[in-house]
Amino acid sequence: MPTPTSLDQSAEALFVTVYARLKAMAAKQLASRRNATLDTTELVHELYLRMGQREGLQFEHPAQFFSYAARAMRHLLINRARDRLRLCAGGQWQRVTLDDQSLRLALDTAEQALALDAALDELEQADARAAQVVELRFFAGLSLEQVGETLGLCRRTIDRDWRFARAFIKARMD
Amino acid sequence: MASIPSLRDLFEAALPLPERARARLLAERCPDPGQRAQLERMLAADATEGELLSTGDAARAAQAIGDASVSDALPAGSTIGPFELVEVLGEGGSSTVFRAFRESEGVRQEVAIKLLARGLYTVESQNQFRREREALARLRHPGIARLIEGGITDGGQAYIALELVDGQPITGYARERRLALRQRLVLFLMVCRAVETAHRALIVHRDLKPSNVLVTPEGDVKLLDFGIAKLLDEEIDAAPRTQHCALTPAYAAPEQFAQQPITTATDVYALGILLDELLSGRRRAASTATTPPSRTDTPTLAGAYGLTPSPAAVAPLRRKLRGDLDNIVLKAACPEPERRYTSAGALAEDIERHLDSQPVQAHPPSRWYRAGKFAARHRGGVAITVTFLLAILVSLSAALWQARAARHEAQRAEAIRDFVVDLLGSTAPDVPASQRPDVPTLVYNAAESLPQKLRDQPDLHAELLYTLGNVLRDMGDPERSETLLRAAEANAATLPEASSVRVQTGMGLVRTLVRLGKYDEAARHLAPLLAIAPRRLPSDVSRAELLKIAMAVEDGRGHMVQAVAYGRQMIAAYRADCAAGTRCDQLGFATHDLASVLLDADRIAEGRALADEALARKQRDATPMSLANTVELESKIALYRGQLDAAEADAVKAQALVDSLGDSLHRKPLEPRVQRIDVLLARENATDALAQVHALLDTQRARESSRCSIAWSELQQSRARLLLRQPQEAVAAATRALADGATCQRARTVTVALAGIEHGRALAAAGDRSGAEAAYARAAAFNAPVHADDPLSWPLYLIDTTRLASALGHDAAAGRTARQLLAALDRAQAPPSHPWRLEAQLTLAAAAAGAPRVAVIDNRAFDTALGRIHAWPVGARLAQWRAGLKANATR
Repeated sequence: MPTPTSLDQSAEALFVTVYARLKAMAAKQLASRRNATLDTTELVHELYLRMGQREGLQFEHPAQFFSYAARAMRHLLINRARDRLRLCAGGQWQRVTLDDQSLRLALDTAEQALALDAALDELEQADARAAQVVELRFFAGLSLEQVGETLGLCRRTIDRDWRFARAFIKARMD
Repeated sequence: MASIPSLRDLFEAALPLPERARARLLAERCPDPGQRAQLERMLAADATEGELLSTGDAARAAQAIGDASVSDALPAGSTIGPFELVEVLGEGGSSTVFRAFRESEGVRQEVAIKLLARGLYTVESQNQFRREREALARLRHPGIARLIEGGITDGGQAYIALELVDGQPITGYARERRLALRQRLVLFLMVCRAVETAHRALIVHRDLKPSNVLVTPEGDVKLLDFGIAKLLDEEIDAAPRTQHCALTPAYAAPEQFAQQPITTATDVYALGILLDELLSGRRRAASTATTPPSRTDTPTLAGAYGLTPSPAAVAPLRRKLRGDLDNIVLKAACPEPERRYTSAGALAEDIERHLDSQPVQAHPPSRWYRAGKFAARHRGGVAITVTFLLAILVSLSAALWQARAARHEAQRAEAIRDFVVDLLGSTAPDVPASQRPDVPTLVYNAAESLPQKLRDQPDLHAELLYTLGNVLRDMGDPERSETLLRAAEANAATLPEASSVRVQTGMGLVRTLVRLGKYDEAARHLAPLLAIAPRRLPSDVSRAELLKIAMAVEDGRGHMVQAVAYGRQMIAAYRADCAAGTRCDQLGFATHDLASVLLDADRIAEGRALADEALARKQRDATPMSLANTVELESKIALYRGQLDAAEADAVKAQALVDSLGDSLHRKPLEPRVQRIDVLLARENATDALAQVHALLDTQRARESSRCSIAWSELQQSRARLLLRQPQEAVAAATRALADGATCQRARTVTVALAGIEHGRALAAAGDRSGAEAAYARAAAFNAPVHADDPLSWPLYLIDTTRLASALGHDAAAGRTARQLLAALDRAQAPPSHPWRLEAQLTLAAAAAGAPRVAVIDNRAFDTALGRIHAWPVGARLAQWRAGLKANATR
């Protein structure tokens, strides 16, 4: 009775691809330079070039790629934050690997990151485009100028979006 | 009234204003105190400096959060699942190993627990972890440390408990006990055999090294961490079918460094390095040039065997290593995967040959190897993992072995298979895992990049093309299967009409066309094959097989008379074959297939007789799956005939047969469950039906079944809700069924039609008369197609149409469908106690008045029949209805 369905190269699959690639690249970057910063902008742009040119992978629009990439970076950060908090949850933390100060920073940042994630979810309800601007800027590392180009909107609109979004999120997170 | 200003409108209106004006604005235009407070916070936040996170952007935040270490967080005495941790045994990049134990009924079980460093939070990643874990749990071999249990804690912490092995690394064991060369080889054979078993289960170790290959004090080999590397794979979280990064440099194959696909050949490489170390005592540093074991320096060699470190003392050992053993090690640890042994088993066999003083297989490249190299220069970017490779290998060998009976032919087939596998296996590296083509694409590419040498031989070329075309069809890619089979046809055109290759090509093409629904064209291609005189047919094709295809083609064209005629000839041909002593095993399938066609042709009674024969035959020698198929068919026939006890028993039995296959099936068919619910609904046992349909829907959604099949379950849900007098829920379920049913192919018109009917019934019950009327009007158009497409569902469609018509007061129409139903049941020789037969009779009686009504229901036979089904809820309902009618009539 059930007829098999074929998996098409859907948006979902593209997202999974972007996510997996970014994750692998981020892991490699972190492993290769232990104490260097993870450079979001570099990662995302490198991936864009690779996927678009070398592999001929077609995104309908650059905005599609960058929004996937931003979403993927968001996942990466949130998973990392949850891992950090989960492992500290037992309260048995031995302060070997991290001194007090950086541990404090790690925990605070993890909590902040989760709060940011939640605030962004709420912003999406209130103003979806403003939320997208935040994702593209904060997670995909685009400048506001680039965000405007990507979304095909003028700089002034993006500035207004960003200002509203920033105030909304900061108000939520405090 | 003006629309309420949005949060953003207010924010932007307030921004340019001075503080006092802002307060006025908010007081005037923002009456909601919650929103006002939020705006005030936002305006205050806007005035402050700083990034969204104190650390700056996402990357710097990730940096600050850092990687968390597992062992720091879990001191001795912590518990993970049912286990209490004792001590850390080891810590690696992606996991930490603890000694742990659990007490169960006074017994203390010691285990090794591996904890993943990162958590698994998404349902998808958790499911992936569980799937991998289940595959490993099935891996049972005395030489492999058992996976005891694995799970994910509430906190998202994934762990696996493994058999705790008391032993020492194989190399240390050999050195300490000063094992002789032969003893070492025997020990190593045990390792190969264990690895081979895992490879057969499609599990690659990925990290074989002495510390994972232990020997117990009793002298038994135990491999640790089989497949664990994949479980720990960083990318489980993201995409399936990817490779891992964890590796041990000295033992990792070149393709692992290069982030290339990992296959069984990767383990063969590690086995080669391990063998080298076991035989020579040297630890081969990563990426040093390979010298054979016999050239190991004297002190190392002497140290490994406990000999005096002098050239004379080790000379006999060197002699034994030189030649075969050198070649075996070099072949196993060859940097190019395609030049290694094809499996751990092949490596073991070569060592056994050496031990038996027979010539070994480690030899210079073969002809096929050279052909493979040629092809490799011409292929596109194709990459493949072990699962892909094995899947292709299995289907190719199945197809080729079926096609080829004679021994030398089989050898040729094997040669072709090896070539294709080479072609697929030696793959281009720089395609990322998630973009790797799927198996059908690989097969198709393989066909397209066949070397010229093969193309120059039309018969061989055609044979390969039709084989690959058949594989593609069986893998669910009929479109590309068609392309290959048409190419095969062009190549085979010059061959004699009755040659094996030409006939097989034609049959393959017809089967694919059937799959594509191109029945008319299939018939055109089949005609010349049917015209070949039976005695001229090639030995690997039987006339009966051609007739079976012809039956399917005509069935698809809707030419039921012709289909049945071919079916009868087919059965006769198979019976003749069987009487002559051949292909008796095919009769079970043949009778089943003809039974299905007869049912499709609405010859229920005749189909039933053949289904009974199929069942009897299959009970003797069929596989559980095939038997389940026929038992389910029996259940459908019994349901049609209103024999609900038998129908339910058969549905349960079909389910049990499917279950008996254990977890070996990737996806168990759900049809027996669907069928059982249909029976429960016919009984009107709504509570059980609803519980089961919910469980079924969960399963279907989890495995992303087609929307069309989900629509049928939603229909059942709606029917159950109606029986439970929950009209709103019934409407909701029927609405979903309509939406999902819209995706059905033409052949499932019945789903669409029934969704409309149930939607109408639910609307009528909920009091929406006009909606119900509209649904009824639409449904009427489906009468003929439902009957033509699915005679087995015809009674259900008729009874529910009757019910809808009655509910809307269309008595004449209800009477018409009731009579159609009675006629259908008569044709199928359904017994008088069929609940829908009784219901149809009552419907007719209710519409009649006075004497005719009494005549219909005041009838001994009716009473007897009703009495037979009184124990079922439907029987009780009908009895109540009848009593009401009787009281009315006599009043």
